[in-house]
Amino acid sequence: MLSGLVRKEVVKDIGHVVALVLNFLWVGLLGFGGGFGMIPLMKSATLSHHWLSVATFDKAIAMGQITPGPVAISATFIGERVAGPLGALVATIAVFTPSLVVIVVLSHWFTRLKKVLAVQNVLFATLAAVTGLIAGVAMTLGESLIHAWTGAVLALVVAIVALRWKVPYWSIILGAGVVGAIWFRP
Amino acid sequence: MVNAPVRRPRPTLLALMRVYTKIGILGFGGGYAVLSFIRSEVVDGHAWIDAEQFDNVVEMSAFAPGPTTSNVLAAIAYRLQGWKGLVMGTIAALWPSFLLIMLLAVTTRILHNPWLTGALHGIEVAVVGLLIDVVWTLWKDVPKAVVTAILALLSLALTVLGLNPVITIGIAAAIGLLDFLIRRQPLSRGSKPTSEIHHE
Repeated sequence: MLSGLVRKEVVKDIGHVVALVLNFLWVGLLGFGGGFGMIPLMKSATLSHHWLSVATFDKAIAMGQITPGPVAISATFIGERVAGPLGALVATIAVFTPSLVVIVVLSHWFTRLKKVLAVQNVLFATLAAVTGLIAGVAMTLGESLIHAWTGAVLALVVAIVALRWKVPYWSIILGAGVVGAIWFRP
Repeated sequence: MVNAPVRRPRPTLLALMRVYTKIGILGFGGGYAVLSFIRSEVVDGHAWIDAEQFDNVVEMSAFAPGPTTSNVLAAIAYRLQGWKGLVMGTIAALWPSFLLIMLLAVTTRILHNPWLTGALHGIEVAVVGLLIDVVWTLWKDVPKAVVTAILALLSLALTVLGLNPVITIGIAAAIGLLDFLIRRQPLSRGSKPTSEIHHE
């Protein structure tokens, strides 16, 4: 009976790993507009599979901000929570592979591809949609995270500081962490 | 052209990985800050590629999905060392962040310190502010037209309603193609230098 249980666990894990790979390949392939374009895709993949709660997903994105690398590294956190170190590894590889393949293709064809006007148009349309997607995520994220005026003030100050003064990114994250430790400590 | 012979010292794979790891450790935040850091390393510091090639690579990377910084690094590595450079360079740039976020994932699961929880919540809220900044910056790159404005608003609404973003992006791409087939000319960003549309 115990071995039956163990086998079931293993099968479930393999299922998780396969699902992680397939979903994060999609995220990697469609995440236009820089790393932030991946957040809406990661969120929908993660929540629709019930891999993480909304609160933990928000945490995953915050963790991705703490690391020096791109936001896409949040995939590592999600993979780790879903299927341990193996999950972390496959999610990371899956999320970065499509863009690497596209980079290779573009390296050979970009000059020619750029002249195809239809391609230009499709990419501009996609970029417009991604802008809307990220705005939508900012709204839903704000709704789930900001419950008091203190949160609203912090988000607004960060937006203004980032837009107006282009201060070093790490100082924004560090500052928000310090403010959070004081204001949001449970 | 990409394959034009370049009389420049080509780095060994190890040298490439060393520089990429340095960028991976110190390159906080992504975006333009990290791009200028990468530029100072590979163009000014090591002279592996020249400034014009660098600008080309940055422009090209905007056409690929995924984070701009890792795309730029990958494109440069591919140019210098082929597939091997692409794979090893990307690993070299990402392993510091990978280890750090693994460590964070494990520690936050067992550690429940109120100060840490508060600090993390502060960073989560800051992400909302940073997303507003990203929306603003991206919108500046979008050609201003009725169709792009409608697409952006439609995507915003569909996201709030909870539609899978894959579908939204698919719809946008289809509308973009349809729009081109109807008007027979592409959307234009106007006189921005990044736009090469009119340079036939």
